[in-house]
Amino acid sequence: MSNMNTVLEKKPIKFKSGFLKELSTNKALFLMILPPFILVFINYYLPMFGAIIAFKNFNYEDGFLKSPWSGLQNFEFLFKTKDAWEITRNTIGYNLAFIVLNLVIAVTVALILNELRSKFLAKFFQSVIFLPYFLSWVVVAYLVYSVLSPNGLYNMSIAPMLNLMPIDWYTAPEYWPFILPVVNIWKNIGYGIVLYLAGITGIDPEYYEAAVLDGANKIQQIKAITIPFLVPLMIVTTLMALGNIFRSDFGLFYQVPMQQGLLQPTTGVLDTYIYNALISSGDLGMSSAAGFYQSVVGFILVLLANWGVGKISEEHKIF
Amino acid sequence: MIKSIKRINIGDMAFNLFNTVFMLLLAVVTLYPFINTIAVSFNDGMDTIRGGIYLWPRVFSLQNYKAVFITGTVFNAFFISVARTVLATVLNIFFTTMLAYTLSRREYVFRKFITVVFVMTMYFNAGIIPNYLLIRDLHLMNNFLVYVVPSLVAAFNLIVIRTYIRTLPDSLAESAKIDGAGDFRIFMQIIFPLCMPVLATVALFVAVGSWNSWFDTFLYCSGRQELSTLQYELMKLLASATQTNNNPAMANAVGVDAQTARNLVTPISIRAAITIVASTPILLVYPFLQKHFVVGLSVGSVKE
Repeated sequence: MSNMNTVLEKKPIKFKSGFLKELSTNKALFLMILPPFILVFINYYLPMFGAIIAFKNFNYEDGFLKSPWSGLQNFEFLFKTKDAWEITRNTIGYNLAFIVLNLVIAVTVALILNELRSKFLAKFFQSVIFLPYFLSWVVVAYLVYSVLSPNGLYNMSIAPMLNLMPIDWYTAPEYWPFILPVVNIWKNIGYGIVLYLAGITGIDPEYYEAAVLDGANKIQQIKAITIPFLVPLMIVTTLMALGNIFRSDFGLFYQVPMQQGLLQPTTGVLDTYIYNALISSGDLGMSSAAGFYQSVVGFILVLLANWGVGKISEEHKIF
Repeated sequence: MIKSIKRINIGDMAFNLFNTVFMLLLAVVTLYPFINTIAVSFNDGMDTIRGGIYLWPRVFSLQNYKAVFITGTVFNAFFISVARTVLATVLNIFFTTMLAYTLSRREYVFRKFITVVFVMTMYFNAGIIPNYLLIRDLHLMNNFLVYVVPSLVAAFNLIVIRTYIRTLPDSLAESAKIDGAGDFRIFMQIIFPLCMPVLATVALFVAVGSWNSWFDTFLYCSGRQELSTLQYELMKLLASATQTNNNPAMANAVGVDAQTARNLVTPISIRAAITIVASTPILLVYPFLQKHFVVGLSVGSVKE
């Protein structure tokens, strides 16, 4: 390292300004960064300015800049509808349910897998449970449909077997607050399990050896050693998820309920609302107001979460 | 003394038995819908309507797969899915590794700033409408490039690769530099080949993401049938399923010849077959995927 610095310092440099000096010494590095940098600027940062259309009466002919301003009118329209409350409630409610269920189930299953005597079986179960994580939401929506459709597994086999009434799930909104968390767990729980298993593997075995000498049984070991060691990881994961509580997985909420209008009151979230407003009504004003609302509240929540994470573990902070 | 050891063992055995049974149930619940779909996809279409297909086909038939692939639409969609996946993976790896290398160089003063610029993209997004208008204004609507270009650099992968490059000895780049090699040559000839293990991991992430994506086709390319992907074809089939349940004519949605459809295949079987076609590539790479994923997960959690 010091070797390289002396090589660099020996070069004759005439620029006075720090930036230009840096540019001339590391020309190639700047050139290599340029393409991805331009791309990320156009693709991520440029649209952020586009968010101003929430304050405009946007039309395609005039475009971003020339469309007339409309002040807070779009937001007034949005918050006057009952949709605004409904989608906010659904977005936050589902996310909270996912956070709690994911944490409890992932930690429990990770503990169980870790305690299994047969390492082969543990590996096998982990592989099976992780599989749905890699399937697309379209495929998952089909698998759910094959269970819940009028001639699916439930109505054709489970209901007759248990003497239950057949249910037309796709027209009954009251069931979806239970169906969606189950589907979400089914698809995503593998990720959490792998995360916590990695955490458990990192615990020094000496703690367990000492506990065994003291006569502690498995349950006592889990309570006194494993769980306390996992707590920081649990807190960091939960805080990050809380930071994203205003966003939802579009695939889950759009694909799995199959866009059935009747299910909207219990399956509509901010993301699907914005999308539907864009596509079906073409009302850019209200949907971009909803988008702005989501981005700004989401931004504040991520900052708060990041601050919280920093309190627990400096190395897990995002920035 | 002997008694107490025995008691602990019995307790431990019960504990182990309970755990194994619990996990077995969980595994069955996880796998069943998938196995059932495989069974239906290999079962005779008309026979499936009678119900009662669970774990294996009753009247084995390849007719469903034949019907899926005989039509140009699905075959073309399969080709587009493969093309976008391969192209996205190759370009993604090249650009992300190049960026990761520059950001791993300690003497590069802007690396902190640029890292933050990229990491921010993981957490902040302007939202769907500004993005939609951007793609529209860039004339990427109904354009194959929209499958590849917007996702060329992913911040998570960037961090994974950069962390890996930092573990390589500095002396390699230094001695090449003394020999007069420029930064780009050092990257191409020394760093890039050494990164292969981590690139295998990242390539799998990118490929799976690209293969599974449907939203870009749906939002940006639904106007051109020849740009349709496999996921989008399956999605269209599903959307039509909820409207017209069990109507054999629906098989036309994938362009299956009406005569064939009436005689041999049904929408249920066609949907099952396409589902399996759309997920088979994932299953093929799954053993590698899982192994690499765990590595990537632990590396990617360290941001700075």
